[in-house]
Amino acid sequence: MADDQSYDLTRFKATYFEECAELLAAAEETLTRLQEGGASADDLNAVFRCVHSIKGGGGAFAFEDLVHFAHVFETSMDALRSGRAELTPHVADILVRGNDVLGDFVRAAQEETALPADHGADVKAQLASILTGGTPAPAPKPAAAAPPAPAPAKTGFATWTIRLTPAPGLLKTGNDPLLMVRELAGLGDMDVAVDASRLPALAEMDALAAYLAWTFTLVTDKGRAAIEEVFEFVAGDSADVVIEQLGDAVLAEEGDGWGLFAPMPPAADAVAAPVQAAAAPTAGAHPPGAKPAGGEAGAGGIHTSSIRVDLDRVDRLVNMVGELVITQAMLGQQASGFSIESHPELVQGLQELSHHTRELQESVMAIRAQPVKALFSRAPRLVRDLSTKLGKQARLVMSGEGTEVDKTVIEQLSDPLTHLIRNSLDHGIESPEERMANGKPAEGTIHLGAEHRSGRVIIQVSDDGKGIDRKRVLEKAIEKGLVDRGAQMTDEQIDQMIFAPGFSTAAQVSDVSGRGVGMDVVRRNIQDVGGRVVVQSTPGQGSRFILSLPLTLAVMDGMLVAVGNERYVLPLTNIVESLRPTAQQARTLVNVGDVLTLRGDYIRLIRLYDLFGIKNAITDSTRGLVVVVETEGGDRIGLLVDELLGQQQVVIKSLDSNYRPVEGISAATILGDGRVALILDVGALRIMGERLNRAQVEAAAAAQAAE
Amino acid sequence: MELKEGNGRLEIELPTVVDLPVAAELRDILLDALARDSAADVVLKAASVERLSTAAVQVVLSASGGFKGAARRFEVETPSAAVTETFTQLGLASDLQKLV
Repeated sequence: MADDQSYDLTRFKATYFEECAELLAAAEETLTRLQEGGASADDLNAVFRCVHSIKGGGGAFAFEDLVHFAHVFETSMDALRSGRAELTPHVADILVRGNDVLGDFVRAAQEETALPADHGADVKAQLASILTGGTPAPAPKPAAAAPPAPAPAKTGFATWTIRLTPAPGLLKTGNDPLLMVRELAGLGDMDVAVDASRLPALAEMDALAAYLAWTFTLVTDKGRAAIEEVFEFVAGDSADVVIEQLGDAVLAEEGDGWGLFAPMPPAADAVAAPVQAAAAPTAGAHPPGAKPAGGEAGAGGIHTSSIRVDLDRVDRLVNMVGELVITQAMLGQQASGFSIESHPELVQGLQELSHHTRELQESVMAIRAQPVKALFSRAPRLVRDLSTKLGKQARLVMSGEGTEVDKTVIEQLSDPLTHLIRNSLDHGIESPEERMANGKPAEGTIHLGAEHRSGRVIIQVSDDGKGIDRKRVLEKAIEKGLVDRGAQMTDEQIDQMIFAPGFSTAAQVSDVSGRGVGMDVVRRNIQDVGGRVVVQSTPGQGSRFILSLPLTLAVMDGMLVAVGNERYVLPLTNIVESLRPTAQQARTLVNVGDVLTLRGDYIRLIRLYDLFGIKNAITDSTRGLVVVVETEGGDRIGLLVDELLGQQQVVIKSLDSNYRPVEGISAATILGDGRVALILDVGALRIMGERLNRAQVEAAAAAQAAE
Repeated sequence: MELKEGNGRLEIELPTVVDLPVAAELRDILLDALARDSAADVVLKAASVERLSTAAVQVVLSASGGFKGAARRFEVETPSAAVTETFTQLGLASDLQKLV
């Protein structure tokens, strides 16, 4: 049984650490705003709540060091938000460092490692000094860059009764009423009355269930929001919380001593029922759509507008929807022989089924989607810290933070993005002197953007630095034996060399970059989630890294094409057009290979049967069909296939995890008739096509030379 | 944590942290003590407790009712400051007094 519980506890801990990660990230983002001077009272409150929550959970699991540190941090935040201390840029810096140290403690607790006893002691002292440093100062200057939080709306003392009736499951969620009682007692003078009537006999009792209930009478000058905040995590779901104010608040006025002596609260008995109007509804009565914006005095605090669901469950749902799509495709195929005249209801029913399946699929995918904001929020800090360290001046511009991507993709992108930004700062942006000498503004710009483009998410990291030094990249590549000396390479090919394993051109290994373990890992991480990374660079003007990622990892629209006896799926979003070329359009150029002339443009023609070694396929391009597709980099290629079989939704089944990665193939799918079809990776096909072409050209040249 | 017989009474020494899992364990041990065909006093030694959960407090309360019903003595011996504080904060100071 003991095993059972320790297992349970691990699960709560995992949830706690998950929450901590989110809270730390949220605090970091807000603190960055504070640092930039754009602070509002809400921001201070938000950070306070983050620290407070981390501390609360830490207390439940007895992470002593963490709680001690968080307590000091929380106290300072409290002083700031109540206006007892002033928020200066220096103070904001201390807070940012405080958040880092708090993160260290959380990590140490999570990894169950011990930090040195004095870890963060200096930051802790600085945090504590905010209190002492803030108080003796004369009245805060109104012209301060970041105004301190205004005092709470109500400064009067009021008497509140709070009834806390925990649901039986409260304790199992890791919450302990004791912590709430302590916190509540911290708000003012409090009386506690306990109701033990629900407590069963020992034999019938579940030791993990909550039976006791309490009524607290609290005299405080803090408002309802402060009280609601205590029950923020339990109200509604795991406890019934009723907060009522008895009588009106007695306002403290200057000079009359009310501020020092709390007035006697009206006796609870004297004020009977008719304060309902003043009494806020219980948490359960809140409109479910209310957003947890935080900081709205009074109304804020207790919300339960979202639920936390295990990712496994969502994945199971996604999987089932995938199977449903396959079944629907199968039914559709079976029924294709029926005409609407002979079986009107069947055909119509199937159409509706298809419609609903699609809607279901979209709703399910939306569950997993998250804005990239979570990913971007670390960037400003990174840029600021690094530019200071490297002695460079850089400005970060972000766009499209609201773009939503699958959660897995977001998680997987965190490291690559950090690396790309570091890379831009370290290798891209020049020193201020060098920039000035080149007629650029001393301050460099790094642009981080996200957008939806043709069914994929495009994330770009670009800078206006010096661009890729192709000469050095090539030298390095030759030195490392990645390229033969004298090999003819296009600019684009040289640029792509930076993704080769173990490649770095930094003359000196710094702790920022230069160990050459980066770009290949970046590329691998991105490929792992079905994405691609392309680099574009203009010497002297900067570089641009384009990350193209799939929107969902489960279902997509595809075009089924036939090559010989094989079926392939082309992602619909890549397809531009399809045509049957005339003999004039399809040509073979010396030293270039097959091309298609289309409205004056030359497009490389790739013969799929050649690439995959398929027999019985149509080899004459004027008899087959050419599908013109566009890659993420914007290049167009033509793919020669036998015929187009039709458009359909396909469920993506990973080849990497079920088999192994195959070049040119991004995944597989199961068709309506039960056959497996491979999904083509257009970007990879282009590279494969070029390689095959080069090999053929070289072979031809060699054969010619031999003759 | 286990039930020990000594001095003609049943003793349970509480650990420093009496959290949720320990509360469940305590309930089982106390149930065992209650089920024994004995008139021996049951004593919770609480001197070294540094943290006491609400769950554990509930178990102690429920047990005290059980032993009272069986006309047996149930006692909390030398409660630490943390124990006293926890009972007080939960509005149970007088209940603890009856057990000391």
